[in-house]
Amino acid sequence: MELRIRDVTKTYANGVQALRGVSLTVPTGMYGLLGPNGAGKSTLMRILATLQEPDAGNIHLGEVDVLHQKDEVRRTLGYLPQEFGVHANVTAETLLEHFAILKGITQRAARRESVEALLRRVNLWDVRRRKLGGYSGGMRQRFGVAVALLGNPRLMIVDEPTAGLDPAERVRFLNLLSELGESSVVILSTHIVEDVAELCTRMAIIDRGTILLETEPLRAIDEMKGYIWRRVISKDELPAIAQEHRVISTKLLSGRTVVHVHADTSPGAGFDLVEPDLEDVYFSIVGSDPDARRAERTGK
Amino acid sequence: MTASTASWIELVRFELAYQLRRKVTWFFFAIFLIPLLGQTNGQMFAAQGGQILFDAPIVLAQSAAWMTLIGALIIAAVAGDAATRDVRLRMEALMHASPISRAAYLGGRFLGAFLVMALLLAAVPLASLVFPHLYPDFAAELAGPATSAAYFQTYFLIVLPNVFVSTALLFAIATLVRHTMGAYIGALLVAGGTLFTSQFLAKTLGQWKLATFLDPAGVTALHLMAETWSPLDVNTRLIGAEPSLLWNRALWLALALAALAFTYARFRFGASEETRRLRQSGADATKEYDEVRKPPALPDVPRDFSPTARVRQTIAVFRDSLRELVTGWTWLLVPGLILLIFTAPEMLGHLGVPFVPTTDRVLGVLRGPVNDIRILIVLLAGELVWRNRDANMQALADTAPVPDGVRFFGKLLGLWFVTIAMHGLLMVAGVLIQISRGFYDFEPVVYLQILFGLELMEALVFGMLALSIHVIVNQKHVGHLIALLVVFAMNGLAAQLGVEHPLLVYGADPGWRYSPISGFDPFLGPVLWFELYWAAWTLLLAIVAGLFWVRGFNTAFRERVRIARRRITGRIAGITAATFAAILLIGGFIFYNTNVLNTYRSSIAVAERRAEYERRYKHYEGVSQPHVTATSLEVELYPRQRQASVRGVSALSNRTTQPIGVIHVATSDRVDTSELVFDRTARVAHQDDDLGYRIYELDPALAPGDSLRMSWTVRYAPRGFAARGIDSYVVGNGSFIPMHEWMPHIGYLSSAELTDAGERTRHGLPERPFIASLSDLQARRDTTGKDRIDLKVIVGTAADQIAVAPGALRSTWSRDNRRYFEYATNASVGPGYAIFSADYALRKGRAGNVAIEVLHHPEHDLNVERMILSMQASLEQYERRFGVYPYDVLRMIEYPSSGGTLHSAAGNIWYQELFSLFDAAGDERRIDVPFAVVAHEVAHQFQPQIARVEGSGLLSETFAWYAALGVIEQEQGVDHLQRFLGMMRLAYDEPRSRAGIPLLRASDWFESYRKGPLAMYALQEYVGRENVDLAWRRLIEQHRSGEPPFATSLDLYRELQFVTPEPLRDLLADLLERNTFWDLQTREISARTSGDRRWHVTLDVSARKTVVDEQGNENEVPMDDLIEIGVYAEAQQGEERGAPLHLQMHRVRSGEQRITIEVSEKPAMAGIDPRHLLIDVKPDDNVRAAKR
Repeated sequence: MELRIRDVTKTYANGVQALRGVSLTVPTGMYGLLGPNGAGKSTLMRILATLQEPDAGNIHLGEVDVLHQKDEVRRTLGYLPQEFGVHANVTAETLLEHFAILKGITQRAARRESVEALLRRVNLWDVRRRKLGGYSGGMRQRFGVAVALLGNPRLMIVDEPTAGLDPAERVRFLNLLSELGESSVVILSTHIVEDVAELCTRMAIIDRGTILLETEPLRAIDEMKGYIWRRVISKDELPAIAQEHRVISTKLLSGRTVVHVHADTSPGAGFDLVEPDLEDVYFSIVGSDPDARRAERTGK
Repeated sequence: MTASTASWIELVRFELAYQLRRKVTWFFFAIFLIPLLGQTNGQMFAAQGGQILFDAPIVLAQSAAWMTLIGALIIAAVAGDAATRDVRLRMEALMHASPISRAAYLGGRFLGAFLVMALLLAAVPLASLVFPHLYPDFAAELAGPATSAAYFQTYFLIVLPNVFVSTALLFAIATLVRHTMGAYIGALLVAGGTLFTSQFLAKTLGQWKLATFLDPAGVTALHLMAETWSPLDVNTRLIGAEPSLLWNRALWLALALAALAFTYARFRFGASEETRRLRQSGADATKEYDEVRKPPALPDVPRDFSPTARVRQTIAVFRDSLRELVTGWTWLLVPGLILLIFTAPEMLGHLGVPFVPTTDRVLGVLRGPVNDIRILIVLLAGELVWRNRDANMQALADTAPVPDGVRFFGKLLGLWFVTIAMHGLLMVAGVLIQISRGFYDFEPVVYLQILFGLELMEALVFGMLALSIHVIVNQKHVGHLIALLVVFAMNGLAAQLGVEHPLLVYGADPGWRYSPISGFDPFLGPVLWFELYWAAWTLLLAIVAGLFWVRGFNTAFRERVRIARRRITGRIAGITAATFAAILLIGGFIFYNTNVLNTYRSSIAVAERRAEYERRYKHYEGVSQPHVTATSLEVELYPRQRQASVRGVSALSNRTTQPIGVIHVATSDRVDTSELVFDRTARVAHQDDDLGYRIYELDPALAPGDSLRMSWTVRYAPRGFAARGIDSYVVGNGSFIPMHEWMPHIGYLSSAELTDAGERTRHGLPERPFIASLSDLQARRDTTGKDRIDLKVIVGTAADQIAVAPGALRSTWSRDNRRYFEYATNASVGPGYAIFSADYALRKGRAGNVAIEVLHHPEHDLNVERMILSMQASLEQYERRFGVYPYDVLRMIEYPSSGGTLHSAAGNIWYQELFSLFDAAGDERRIDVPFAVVAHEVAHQFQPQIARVEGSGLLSETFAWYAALGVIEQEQGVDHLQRFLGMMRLAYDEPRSRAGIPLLRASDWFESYRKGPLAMYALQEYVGRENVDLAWRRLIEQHRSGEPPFATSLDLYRELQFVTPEPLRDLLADLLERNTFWDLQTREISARTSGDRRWHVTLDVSARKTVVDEQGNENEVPMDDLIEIGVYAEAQQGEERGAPLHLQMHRVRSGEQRITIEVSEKPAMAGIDPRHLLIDVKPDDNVRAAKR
């Protein structure tokens, strides 16, 4: 099964152009959608999750027209929104049962089984009788995962899922996703490069509503080999370097600044060639991180 | 400027700017303007009606007070938003993390909201200021010399404090419960508190002082001023000087500040529910993963999207809704119900007499709360529609593969379930009320028919409406406002706009009534049709709501329209078309009934018709006409078919000295009049069937002293049903036909003229007094409707019913499975008589030669014995006091009607069914009101023929009560009489202006039914009952014939003067000719004994007398009156006062004086005018305990 997104455009009433002709093809497996905040990721995710209407374009999941056969899509959909709440005065078990019915698991025994498996899976079984209002952020996030996983979705959309999770939880959650990715289309939208690097077989980079790159992470990294140079500098050297070279990222390391520069040949003394990682790919596409950008500006 | 002041100011400024920038605020304001303009418009209409100016200070203040209550709804939206915005937008942590003090945070938010509302509601006084300029034909004389002080006081004493109090309370509650719903509950509390104090505490319980103090909106204080001020004061006096109002304002400002202080004390930053719960339960308590163990695989479970699954899902949504409804705010209903159970007994009565709490009575009391349930339905519908979005859960929920219809219907089911439960609770409340009164005949069928039938049906349809409105509007507060407008303002607003037809006003119907006698007849059918009609409209709206249902994040209108268009499937289109067809079909059927089968007229058209009648035919008013001397009727009633026909023959005679060549006949528009013929040639010179006016030219003319016969037929056969005021003359059981509403009348009917002064002005008619002046000699001789006739009636009715008409039953027979009754009067009767038919139970009695009968609904037998006793005693006593009772029968007849009034004429007294429910035994004051009322009605049979001029109330109602007092005294004793008089005097406790007309011009209820009888009783105690009776007897004898001149109060006054000894003539004038108030006070009583069982009692008393004119000018007059002085012995157990040791008239002058009396027993109390014979400003300081 394959998700095909063609020329999807969305402009909000206040004039913000969230998506400008986005086209993507997403095969089965984990797919990373990487982009800075405000790039249009959530809009695209919501459109895929049938929660929002694009102005133009079409989307197909296999044979199903996502924009016009919403109910069909929803039957195979799992969606974990970037931010969500739950009814505070209901227990996790009750609410999950409720969602199970809504997702078509109407047989009592099957529902019980499903709910129990999910609650165990997300490690909420012991607190299933507790009101959701008493859940911590991480617990609530896991509850959302359980809801999304109900009914073994063929299309899983996860919007910035790891933002509120602690490192251990994050690892567990990503494992869960990759397991699901064996048989389903899983789209993971994030601004955290590692999430994609660790999990996704394919990815796209989006910024300001436009897809800038659609690739496989490994290949992209491969293509960067021999172009990324690193140097440790003091902060006041940055403007000069930014003026001369294409700085793609700066990072602080024990009080010193580490710059990565994209260049065909050695940019000069003090620069070492480094193994590129996905972050280098990302920043070279999105146009460097804010610090570097500022440095670029002041340099000009 | 300190940092904290700066942050205060910034917060206030931000709040102010934020609220003023919000579109919603202005939308609210725009909606608020509708009732405001309506109110102002009404103010102008009222001003057209008479003496009160459009911009009288008290009028401005009263309108403003009520408008601020409506404004509380907007305050709820604004203050609720200010209090809970951060919670709602999950900005709490952010706000609370900034270095703002609690005081600045709360204070800034509150002040901002308050200032916004203070600004917006300045529109209230401004509307009255601007309105006249918008109205081109606003007559200048309707407005007074408007002073800016009146507007300022309205704003600063009424609007601003009310806004402050409402904003503070609503803000406080919403902050503390952390939910905007708290603000709405607060608004309900403020409005409910105002209604409770102003209506129940003040009007029902008579606790005016307390109510004035406690009323949150100041409405009671203003009402008190409006009622007690003289007409002069009302137009000019400012409200600001009234201490009661100022105290009330002070109390509520203090309470508002206290609420704010409490909120400040209880409010904690970051005290969100989440963190609180976390603190209680400990943070993430889940165990660490067992990393080694493989997580359990997810089972592959079957999924189902069949129709059966849809049903299960609907049930799931329904159950989820119940979690919101049942655990939520619905419980607020319970304290309301408890309050209801406690207050219901007070409302279940009349004149302080409790009613037997039959189920339909109790349901009558519950009708208010049934309506209030709708407020809750609106609020709950809002919570349901916003349930997932308020929890920020819509992204999770809306991606579930559930059709929108499942959600809508599931929520609707939840709302319906709660609605049904609320009706169940009301039924429980009703049963509890009945049990608390020892009544166990619960009549479940009546509960079922009314509460779970008509009213539940309406509520369910309304639930669908409220839900649909919330879905379509998609803004919670605006949804609330619009839905509540439908509940409360729809009728009024539509009427203001001139839209009256019930097909055009949502939820309107022609009205219904339940009677144990006639059931729902004839209202049920029409009401059900309307119910169906509105249900169809609501369904249509629900379909629209389904199309516009917001799923996900498509909230922009453009997107919603696009989605809605896409949602229109063939099936939806089909259902919509079917619904629309149903609306057209049902609406068409109703329209056919109301406008084709019946003539529909708007109220303006009705008034215009009456104006037109007057314009066209008024000039015939003085034309000499023959008088009716005898009438015989053959009435055929068909109760089951709701049909009737009457064939009548009337004898007309010319009592003038000129021949009468032209006869004017007014026909009724409630029946079809036909076959109107005379027994001589009569040419129709004019026939106006629309207005019901015909003119016949007789040939030959009717010579003086000669008479002729007019025969006619009227047919009553209602076709379908009318748009409003469905008449119930003939029903399955309990037909009641006041014949004068059907019969043709001779001459122009001045009773058809418009009487309301404002309406007359609007229709361009000349001014006309409500009642003719006492000095209007022509009116005093007006014989219209005063003909005394001999009456013969034959009534045929259903075989199982008894028909009743005036006079004795001469014979009865059966024919064609129908029963016939022939009645004939043995003495002439007036024209105001009625025909009845029902399955009556008949109780008989006798008083001398007079047969006594009570015809009543078989189950309504509680008071029958009492009624017969009263009729017997009254007849016997009145014959001694006032002359012979002319008829050979005295009869009381019950008929179905929601009221409890009685009417007495032509030997018959007919009473509305509520009178049967007067539970005299349950009256804790030990007053037998039903007995007294029957005595009153019997007395009406003895009253003289009265001219239709001012003071007629004195000759009818005052006479009837005066006469009845004698029967009460004779049959039930002096103590009972005193208790009864005490009840009558309660009317003096009601707020009332002292400005007034003398009793000789008595016309209103208070003068005729209370002040008059009390004056007559005082007179009886001063000059003796035989003398007062003599005066009445002479008056009655002189005015019995039905020939002019008719009796006026001046005739009575002459007779009373004749029987009053010279020294008491001035008192007589004080009682009847002048509007006099005494101020009698006992300052001190001392008693000492000289040892020989003689006691000397010294009373220090003060006295003054004031005469107040119609305009309220008070004039103290020198006093030298005979006043009763009483000395009383020690009171026995259960007595208020002991036996009188001394009770005599003493001469009392103006000012302080000492009176010494010797008694032979130990005195306990003494005082001046102890029996309150005279109208005292302050009656409770007349009697004091003796000091020794």
